Amino acid sequence: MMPLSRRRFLGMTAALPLVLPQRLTGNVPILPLDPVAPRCLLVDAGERCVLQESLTGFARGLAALSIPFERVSAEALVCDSRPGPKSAGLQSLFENSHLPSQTLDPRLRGDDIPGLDLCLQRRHSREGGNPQVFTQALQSRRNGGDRILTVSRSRRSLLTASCPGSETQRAEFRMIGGAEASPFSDRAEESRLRPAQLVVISGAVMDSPELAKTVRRLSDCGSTVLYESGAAYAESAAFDAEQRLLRNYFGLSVQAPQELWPAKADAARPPYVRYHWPSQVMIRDFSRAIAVSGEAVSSSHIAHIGTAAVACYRPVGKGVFIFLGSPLGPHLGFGDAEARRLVKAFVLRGT
Amino acid sequence: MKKSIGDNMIPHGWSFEQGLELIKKAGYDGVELWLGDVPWFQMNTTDAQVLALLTKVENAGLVVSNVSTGLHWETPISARDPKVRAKAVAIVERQLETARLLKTDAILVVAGLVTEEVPYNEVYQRCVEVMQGLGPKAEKAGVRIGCENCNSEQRFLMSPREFQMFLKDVNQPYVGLHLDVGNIHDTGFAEQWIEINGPHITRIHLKDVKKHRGRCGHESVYTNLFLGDNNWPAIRAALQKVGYDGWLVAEMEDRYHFAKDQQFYDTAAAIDRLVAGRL
Repeated sequence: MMPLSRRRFLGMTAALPLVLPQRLTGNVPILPLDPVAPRCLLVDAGERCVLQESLTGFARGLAALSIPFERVSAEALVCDSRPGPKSAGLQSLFENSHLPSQTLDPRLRGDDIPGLDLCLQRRHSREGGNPQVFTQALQSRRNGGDRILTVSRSRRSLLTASCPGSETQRAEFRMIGGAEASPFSDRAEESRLRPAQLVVISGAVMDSPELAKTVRRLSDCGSTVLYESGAAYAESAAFDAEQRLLRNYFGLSVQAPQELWPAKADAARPPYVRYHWPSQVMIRDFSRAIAVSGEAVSSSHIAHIGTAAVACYRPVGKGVFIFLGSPLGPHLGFGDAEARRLVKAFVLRGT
Repeated sequence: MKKSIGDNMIPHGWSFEQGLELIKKAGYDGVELWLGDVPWFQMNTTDAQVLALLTKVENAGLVVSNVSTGLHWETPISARDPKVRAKAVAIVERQLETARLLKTDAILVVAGLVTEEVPYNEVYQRCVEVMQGLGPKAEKAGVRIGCENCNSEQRFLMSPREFQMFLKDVNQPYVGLHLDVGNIHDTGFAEQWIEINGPHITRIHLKDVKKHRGRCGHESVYTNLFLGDNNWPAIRAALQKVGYDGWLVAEMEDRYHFAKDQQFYDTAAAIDRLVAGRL
């Protein structure tokens, strides 16, 4: 074989995917870049989302960065973490799938899943080119009970099977990127939540213990949860509840929201939040911010406005909880390049 | 072209009926009603009360030229706080409703406010999105939304091409430009705004402006017609060129200190001369 000339070698490396040099550096944990497997869950907190613009901004930002994500309602997440039957939440999760529509993987037909007969039903189809959502009903002979499996055409990595009825009839089914199927698990008492690489809860106010518990569980089981608080724009009672729940569930102490632009400002100040981790960027403030109190270990503070820490990073269980006290989502929506760089860094280095 | 003047010009202490009588006497064809700026027309004014205002206008031999508001200075549609934004949208919706009741087909909206706190990019995108949402409602009501060019005060959409691009991005046939020929100051020329945005002009506010002075405390740079630096023959020619034949609405910011009613007569006479080309 002829040795490669230096010029030809450089030409070849230029054609390699951009991620390769990052993989080779080895100084950051790089997540698999499987374009099919979802990397991110974007949680719509429903009426608890006080900054809708932030949610839209994250959706736009993630799409612009070509980061596959799925939009899931907080309600579905909460339901998913409860013992007992559920399915409506999952359906809404798949209906909001932002992954490209694909043909159904033959492996999902169930031929190679021992003990299962599979019946495919077309449950829901949207017109206008949106991804179609299919529901498959799986019947398991193993435990003699019917189990319903909801599957999206996008071959989402987490598939949950459940069946109305007793807890013992519930089962779980996991498939990673459509590549392999694991047998059912009958651990009925365990939460059905599975870790996602990044779970973004944007513009929300965490005033419900159920939501806090769910977020805590997500972190516990290995997810990186990016919680962007919108509580500065919520009623004060809602903020008080969030303050209490953050302390109880995450050991995080936050201060009351600050108006950053009072009508009679004494002196002009730079309108930026300085992030130090996972990327050093400056992003505009969003008029109000929630500061993290000094109780937290200073090294976990990841962003400041002036001297006040407004974001922090906390290892929680097997995962991480990241609190953002200054909204980031709207800036993603407005196309702020630095904000997008930051989110990309969260995705790449979040775990 | 028809002449109109705002009811917010009616001297303090005068009733709405007295004001209408003056407006008619001075030779105007219509009156611009300012939602939230005058005691008789507020956000909590009921539909029945709005209809009563219409009756008074018609009894005075006038029509309503358009519905305007200054409420968006305090409650901008570009606000970061979603609650403020929702309130701003509710104001526009009420303008649309009242315009319909008052049998007119145009409203004025101050679309967006760039500040040190809320930067241009945010304001632009929010305004586009809010107007995209309001456009179909305006169409349904048969009322056109005219976004006013408040260049210096808004620090937004400073040039005619920028405004043209904004309208293109909004892409709603019922969202256009309420052009104020006095608001352009030294950042451009009113006649060029007319030429570039002609078909999208919903109404025209008339006042003159002393360029190059900037705003200084309470001293207004705005002045009566023909006292400032606007090129009125050029403005008239541009209006002819684009075929504008709609309302000319007088909006004098600086008011006479004495004989306040005289400003109505003087302004009406000036508009007549502008329309007639006797400049």
